[in-house]
Amino acid sequence: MCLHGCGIRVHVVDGIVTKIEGDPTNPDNLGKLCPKGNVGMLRLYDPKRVKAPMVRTNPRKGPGEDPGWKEISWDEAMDLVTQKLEPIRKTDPRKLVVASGDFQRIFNWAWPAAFGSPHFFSTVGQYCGAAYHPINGITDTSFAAVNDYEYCKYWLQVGAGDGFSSHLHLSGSAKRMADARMNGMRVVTVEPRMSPAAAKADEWVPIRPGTDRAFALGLMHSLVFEHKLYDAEFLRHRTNAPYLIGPSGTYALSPGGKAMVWDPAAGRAREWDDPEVSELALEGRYEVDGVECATGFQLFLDVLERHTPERMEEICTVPAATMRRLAYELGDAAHIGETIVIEGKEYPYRPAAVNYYRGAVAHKDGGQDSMALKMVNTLLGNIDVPGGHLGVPLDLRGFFIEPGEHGMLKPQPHILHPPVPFKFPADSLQMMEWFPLGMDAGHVAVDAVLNPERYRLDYTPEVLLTYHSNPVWNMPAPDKVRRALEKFSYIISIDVVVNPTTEWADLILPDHTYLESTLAVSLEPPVVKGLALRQAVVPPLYDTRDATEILIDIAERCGFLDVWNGFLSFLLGLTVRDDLVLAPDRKYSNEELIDRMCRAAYGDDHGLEWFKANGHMVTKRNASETYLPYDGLRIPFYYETIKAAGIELKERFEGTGYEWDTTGYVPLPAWSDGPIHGDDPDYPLYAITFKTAETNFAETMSIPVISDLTKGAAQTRGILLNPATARRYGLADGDPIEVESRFGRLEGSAALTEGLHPDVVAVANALTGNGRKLGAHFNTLLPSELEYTDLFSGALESVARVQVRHRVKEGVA
Amino acid sequence: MSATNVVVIGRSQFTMGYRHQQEWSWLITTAFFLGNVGAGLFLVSYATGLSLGAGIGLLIVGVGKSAAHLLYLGRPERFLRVIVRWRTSWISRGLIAMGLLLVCGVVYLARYLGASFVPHDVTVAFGVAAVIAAVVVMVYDGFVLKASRGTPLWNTYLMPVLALFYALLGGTTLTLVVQAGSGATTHAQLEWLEIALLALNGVLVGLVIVTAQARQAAVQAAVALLTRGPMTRVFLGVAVGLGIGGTLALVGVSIATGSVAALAVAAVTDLCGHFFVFFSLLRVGLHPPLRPLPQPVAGHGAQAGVSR
Amino acid sequence: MTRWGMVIDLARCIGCNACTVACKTENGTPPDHYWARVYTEERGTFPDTKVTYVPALCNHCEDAPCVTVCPTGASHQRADGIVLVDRDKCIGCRACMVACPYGNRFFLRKRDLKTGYYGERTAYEDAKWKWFVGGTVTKCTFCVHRVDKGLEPACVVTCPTEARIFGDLADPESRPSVLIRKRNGKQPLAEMGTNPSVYYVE
Ligand SMILES: Nc1nc2c(c(=O)[nH]1)N[C@H]1C(S)=C(S)[C@@H](COP(=O)(O)OP(=O)(O)OC[C@H]3O[C@@H](n4cnc5c(=O)[nH]c(N)nc54)[C@H](O)[C@@H]3O)O[C@H]1N2
Ligand SMILES: Nc1nc2c(c(=O)[nH]1)N[C@H]1C(S)=C(S)[C@@H](COP(=O)(O)OP(=O)(O)OC[C@H]3O[C@@H](n4cnc5c(=O)[nH]c(N)nc54)[C@H](O)[C@@H]3O)O[C@H]1N2
Ligand code: SF4
Ligand code: SF4
Ligand code: SF4
Ligand code: SF4
Ligand code: SF4
Ligand SMILES: [Mo]
Repeated sequence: MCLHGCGIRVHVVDGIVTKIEGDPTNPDNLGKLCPKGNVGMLRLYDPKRVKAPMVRTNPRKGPGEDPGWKEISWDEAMDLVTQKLEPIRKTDPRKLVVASGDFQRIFNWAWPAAFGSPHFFSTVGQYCGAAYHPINGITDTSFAAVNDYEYCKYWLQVGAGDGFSSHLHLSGSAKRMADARMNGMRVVTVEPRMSPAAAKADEWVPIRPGTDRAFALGLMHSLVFEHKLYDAEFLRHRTNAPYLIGPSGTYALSPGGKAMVWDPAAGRAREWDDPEVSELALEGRYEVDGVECATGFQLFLDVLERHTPERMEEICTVPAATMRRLAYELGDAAHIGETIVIEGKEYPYRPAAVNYYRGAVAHKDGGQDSMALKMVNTLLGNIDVPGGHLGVPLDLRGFFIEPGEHGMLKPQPHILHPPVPFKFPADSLQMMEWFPLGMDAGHVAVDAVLNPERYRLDYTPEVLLTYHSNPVWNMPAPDKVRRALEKFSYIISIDVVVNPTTEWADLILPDHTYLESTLAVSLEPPVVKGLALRQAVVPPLYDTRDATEILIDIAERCGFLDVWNGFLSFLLGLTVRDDLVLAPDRKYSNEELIDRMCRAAYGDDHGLEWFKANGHMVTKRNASETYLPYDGLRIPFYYETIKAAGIELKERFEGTGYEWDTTGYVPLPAWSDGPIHGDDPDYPLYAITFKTAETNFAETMSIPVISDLTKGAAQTRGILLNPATARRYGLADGDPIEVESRFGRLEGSAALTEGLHPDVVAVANALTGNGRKLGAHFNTLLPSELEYTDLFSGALESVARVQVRHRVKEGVA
Repeated sequence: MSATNVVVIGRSQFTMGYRHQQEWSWLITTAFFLGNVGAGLFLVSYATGLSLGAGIGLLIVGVGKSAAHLLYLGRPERFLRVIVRWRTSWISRGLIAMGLLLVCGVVYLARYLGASFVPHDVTVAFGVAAVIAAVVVMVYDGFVLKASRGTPLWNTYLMPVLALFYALLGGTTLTLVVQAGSGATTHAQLEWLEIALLALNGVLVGLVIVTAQARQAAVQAAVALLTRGPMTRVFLGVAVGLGIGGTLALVGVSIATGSVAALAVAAVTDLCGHFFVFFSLLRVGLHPPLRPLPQPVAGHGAQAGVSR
Repeated sequence: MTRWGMVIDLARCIGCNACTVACKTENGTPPDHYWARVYTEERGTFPDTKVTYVPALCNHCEDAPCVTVCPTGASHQRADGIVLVDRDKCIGCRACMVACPYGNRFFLRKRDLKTGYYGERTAYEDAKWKWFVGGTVTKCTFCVHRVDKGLEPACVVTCPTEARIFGDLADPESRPSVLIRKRNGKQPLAEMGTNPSVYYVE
């Protein structure tokens, strides 16, 4: 029911799914299931499912318009699709725009590329991981990251739900987290809101939204200058911190083109791999061949010096004394210098780490937020070592470990798809050509559809295909998304239910639900590895088809089956064996693909049949796969890659006459006010959104048990406000209120809680959903303008400055 | 404690606080009320030898109360099952008593209706049995409330006492009305009894409120709803003010002037007060929070309110 | 003699409501019938706020007021302490609902069974609702159908943090008994004199 893959067992009585239980043999979730996992069958039996292909008979679209759905046959439906897409494919494939969000069948994300469509019209990355995944990928080739549940003893959680309410594989993570806490691990949660992670923490540190970087910088200031608690040896020998940086901000290179370090014994710079180097200077400013250089670490110190806890307190509201204490506790708990032997191998032992995610980094300067928080870990020397902050790969392909330049691990900022070369004007609506390191910023695509001249578009998008995605709900500024939808002459949706986006479709192609279809998955697995099979437990209830097969069918009808089969061979890992590679002209069934995928991964005796009988190949990752799998290669402390990419991008724009801000490409994080910071008398408060354990975005809200639950539960029963704040605005619990930002407004009832920073208005993403009207939708408060987008990573600002008022008293009702 | 800082969560199953009992409301109040006044009327009429009153009393119980109960039950067709747990359940006992009252009462009254075949001794015996049954019907609802441990406001012997005396009061009022209506001479003693019972009930209701301070937080919270919360108008205004104060004044007028009209109005105010005393006591029935809450409660949770 | 009971570890519980949902789908309970549920309890004022998640279910009280007040004998207690409602005897008088201090009983209207979760009954409800009788009271059964087969209750099995621990309170060495002893288990509203079989440890 979410994008992850917990093992389940399903009871089917007389052909009816009556119960879903966790699979106790799967080491991922250990027999546990989160609330969503428990309620999956209500999606299957939802009477509002799309039961057959449907076409719209009412040409008028919009809220309140009845689309007048009419069921048609699959043949008719596919003919319609071909009619619309084939000419586009032949003339200008860029005119097809795809919005997809199917993580489990992530290989299908490449389908638009096979078609020739470069676009991405949805939120996935920019609302959560745009700033996170590239920093992870550049740091240690991981996609995600999480602290080491097994050995960590001090867990600083910043704006993330890991182990408590969201992010990676909730069911298993919650168990691991609870066990770790019971075994004495200290948890400190930095959050504007008393989230479950904060409620269960030993200490809750309320913070003003969007200022986590200031907190991280204050923490590092104290660690470095006050407590002198950092892992100098790690920085010296396992990172690029001692590399010399020239005036441009990139490596100072030797005549031989190699990065250099300073050898204090010799009193001169040497190539990083010069065997003569006996000592490495971590700090200092040096003159090399008449050029002023400094070590990366020295530049870090220079930046850090300005970021005193006192100054950071003014920004983030966490008292300087608290930052100092937390810095000490964290540094002290890191056991710098100690080692541990696991499975016969000695590793550094750093049982203290910062864990962070969407709340902390989905901001205008998210790249820097992400970098700053990651660097606290690097400073402690805890990256990928027992007790520390561990990389998590995207899927069963594992980490992409290759030696890079200058003794470094090769950065992998693009794990979802290969980097897109620069082009002006860009082909893609999300301007992916202008994000050499970042992720697809789908909301930019909305802006581009509405303002083609601003982006110098030289074509007009015509058809939209949404697949397992709900851009009207998931993107900022839903009104703009709706206006963008009006620009498309035809909208096709592959979905299971009618949602706020598919209700705009001209044609809906119904997919199987997960209980009716077969798939082998392994997605962002923390601690484990290996494929698990999801089997169809009941035959499809309705006239639906597996989305994978729908897409293959379209590929065939539009004449690019060969291309798509080529892509699939690669994406499913079939290229390891010639006999598994797909024939270009053959249409494969979903099950055939899964069978090949399994055999490619585990050999012929582990095909689909084996998985059907045995369920999964999920095992715990062992120590050598988990800890320092790239041993011997350095990771970045100074993010030179980013600086260099920025310089290059700037050069590329020169001569185009186009203004594109590249100042976000910084090698080290620093504080600067973004558009949501500082005094704003008209919009004094900060609005945030968050996920809860029982919801998966808006989607699960159409499941009655879930929506019932959220209506009563404390976190989701209304718009959360601190009672002191409410008093200031004359509001009482339960009052009908209105929250307004510069970009939009939402309505709901006030729910007062002492578990909230007084500067904050918090709106659960469960307040709206496929079952509820969009009126109280958080995203209406957000802009999708470039000024609110991180032009390095693609992250959007997910915090809004707002005011609140009583709806009746102020006469708004 | 003021009612505004009582965290009353209605039926919410997810926020900690006092939960309203939401099950027993109009129909159960009506059933209890009709049982009280019907049995009370039977008893007082029996004592004053007013067979018409006794008959009406039986009718109120037999038709009114039964109907209210049957309307309320989720499975009315199984109502006969109620009698099996008389050893533990006051509902069983009360309804057995009700059956007895009806049977014995009818047999007793049969004589007055000309059924002279019933031997005198038998009539007397049935009369006595009916009276005992009537007393049980008058008090059992109080015991039912007393037995509801989940609703601490009710979990006191004051409840059966209150039920008994309100039933007597109601019986007296109705007897007076029947007397006046049937042209029989009014008994002045009965009017004084009425005044005494009114005063006594006033004291008993006061006791419920006053003793609350010494009882559990859930009782205090419930009383706060009665006296400073959403039920205040109904409870203090209608049940106490009109029902006791107003009735006292009207009965006084009636004694002084012999006005039948005043008596008639007094009957209405009294019965109205009677009904709403129990209605408000039922409606503010609060279940305690699963774990004790600090007081006063920091203004979260739903507001104090009777509805959900 | 066995006495089934549960310990709820408030330190572990993260308020995720997996138990709430697992109970619903195990027992197919109708809308609004939350045999298992989780209260959020908030204390203190910002920033010294304390939030505790308190899972709840029927306590299978030894001295169960719901059983005492029941006029029909529909509410009864098994020898192993499990309190059940016999759906064929219950008349829906709801005396047990006002008598239960914990809000662990739910009245099932006949019309609720017709409309189901979606306003119309689905195959799922047809399959799961066979054993519900409109006009009667429902409650947590301690998953007798599982327990009698040697399985643990559904809410226990699914709980991601293992905050719900089920076992025999009569056996001093059972997991719940040991936990109650070691961590000073407390019964909810012990002052009500109901002697619950559910304990909380903090
Ligand atoms: N149950 C559940 N699990 C999920 C998902 C789901 O929908 N439901 N979705 C999956 C997906 S796609 C993603 S991206 C991940 C997201 O996983 P998380 O990042 O863990 O999810 P969020 O709840 O969005 O954000 C985390 C926390 O950040 C807080 N927060 C908001 N603004 C700020 C801020 O400015 N600073 C700080 N410090 N905190 C802030 C919120 O209150 C929230 O508690 O979860 C994945 N797992
Ligand atoms: N206010 C607010 N907005 C947010 C967030 C937030 O926390 N708060 N989180 C953001 C984040 S991090 C993300 S990743 C996005 C995610 O946003 P989305 O990608 O839109 O989320 P999903 O719910 O995964 O998928 C969307 C739709 O897929 C359809 N669907 C479900 N199951 C299936 C299936 O089996 N097959 C097919 N074909 N379709 C199916 C459903 O109609 C569902 O509505 O939302 C972002 N938007
Ligand atoms: S965490 Fe995700 S995959 Fe696991 S049970 Fe919950 S919804 Fe399913
Ligand atoms: S499933 Fe477990 S952790 Fe989740 S709310 Fe229930 S008891 Fe608490
Ligand atoms: S918790 Fe309530 S329903 Fe359960 S046995 Fe105790 S009194 Fe009865
Ligand atoms: S509602 Fe049913 S179980 Fe409850 S007391 Fe009445 S007859 Fe007994
Ligand atoms: S024991 Fe069974 S019936 Fe009772 S709450 Fe848990 S899952 Fe529900
Ligand atoms: Mo996400």
